[in-house]
Amino acid sequence: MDENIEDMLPLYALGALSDEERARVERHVEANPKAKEELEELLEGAGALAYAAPAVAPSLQSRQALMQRIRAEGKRAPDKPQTPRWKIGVLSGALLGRGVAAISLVVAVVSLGTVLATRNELGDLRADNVELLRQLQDHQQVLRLFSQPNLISVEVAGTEEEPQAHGRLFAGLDGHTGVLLVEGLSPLQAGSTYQAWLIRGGTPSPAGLFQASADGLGTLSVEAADILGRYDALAVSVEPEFGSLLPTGPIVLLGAISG
Amino acid sequence: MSDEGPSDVELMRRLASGDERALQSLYDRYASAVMGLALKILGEREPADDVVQETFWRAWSRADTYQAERGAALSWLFGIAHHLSIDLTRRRASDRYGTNPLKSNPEDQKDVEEAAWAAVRRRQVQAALSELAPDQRQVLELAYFGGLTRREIAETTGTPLGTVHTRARLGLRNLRAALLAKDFEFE
Repeated sequence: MDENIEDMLPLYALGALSDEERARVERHVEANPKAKEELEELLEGAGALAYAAPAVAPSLQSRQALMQRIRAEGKRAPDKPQTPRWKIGVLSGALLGRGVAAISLVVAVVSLGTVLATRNELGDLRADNVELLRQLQDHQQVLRLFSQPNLISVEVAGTEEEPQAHGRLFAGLDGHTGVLLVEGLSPLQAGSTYQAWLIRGGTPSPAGLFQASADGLGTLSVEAADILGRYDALAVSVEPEFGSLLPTGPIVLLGAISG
Repeated sequence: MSDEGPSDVELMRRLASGDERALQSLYDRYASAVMGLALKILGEREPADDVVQETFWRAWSRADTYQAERGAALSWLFGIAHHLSIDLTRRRASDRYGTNPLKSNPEDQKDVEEAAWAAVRRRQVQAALSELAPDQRQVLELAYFGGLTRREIAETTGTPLGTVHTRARLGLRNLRAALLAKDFEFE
């Protein structure tokens, strides 16, 4: 308890304090304008981290469940602590409001039943569509890349983890995007993905996720934070389904970009 | 932001007055960004979906507490979603860190203009993150996306608590400085 409370400000901004520690920091900040000013700057930095997460479409059911809940629970909720509905949602999926009458429930269930199959089909079609669009964008990007005068081609070779794998990264030397074409990769088990990394000064940055087809082919539109020609190397590792911010699995492909 | 359609401030004002269509517009505009953050922290679609739903429910029920001068609507929504996601992460004590707290997913973009804007900001933040010393970046990620407390970070990384404090402070300061150098618009 003798810790310098100022040391806790960055951890407060990152949400890494216990409830008791948070309360102590808040009391301290209220009484110390200078600490408050520093905390506001730290909160700016921490808040920006949220923007690092790639956008992902929520399920169609999520939107519908939200609208159902609003209609069931009224125009505005009173200012009282809300039961975290998601805790229930984890177990039960779409939620209906607490105040909904039994008859409304029956109507809702019947309505849901009639549209559920259609919605599921729409969801499947939408997922297929997204994948087809992604592939189309990859192909369009290849065409655009090959029309550039400063095209670079980087060879990536399989490591001892996947010695049969090899591929090429095609990119504009001065651009942020490129296309990685790979063959010879082993299809992964469910729950895993291949993730590309751009490495500079020994620090890897995430460059995209992809899967290998049954015949070992993989394509990826690489999106780099900086100009591609400024990186030292490109690597591919095996990561959990939704990828990682730093490599956690084996590196299966590696190639030098410059130097 | 988009030149078409109501501004965020206008949407939030209508939300506070109970306009359901405003909520739908806000959802369509930002649900994917909120889902991305929740999925990165939670790593599973189902609870992340629930966090999205709860985030927009709270936006609906507490829209009158939103203060435009304190930040953009998306930053406000991110704050709610981050709090909910971390809270849920800490409740799942048996499956906290180690499975995969830092996750992402291929993008499914809906609004092209919004997605382009988000991509610019994501690129700026990722570039700024990549400029940090790895040990500083690790602390930020374990705290913000992993939901670990400072003591858990110290245990996980095998470093003294004081070192965790120092890395967090340096990491956030350096991140902010790097973002300012990239003309990142803080909201």
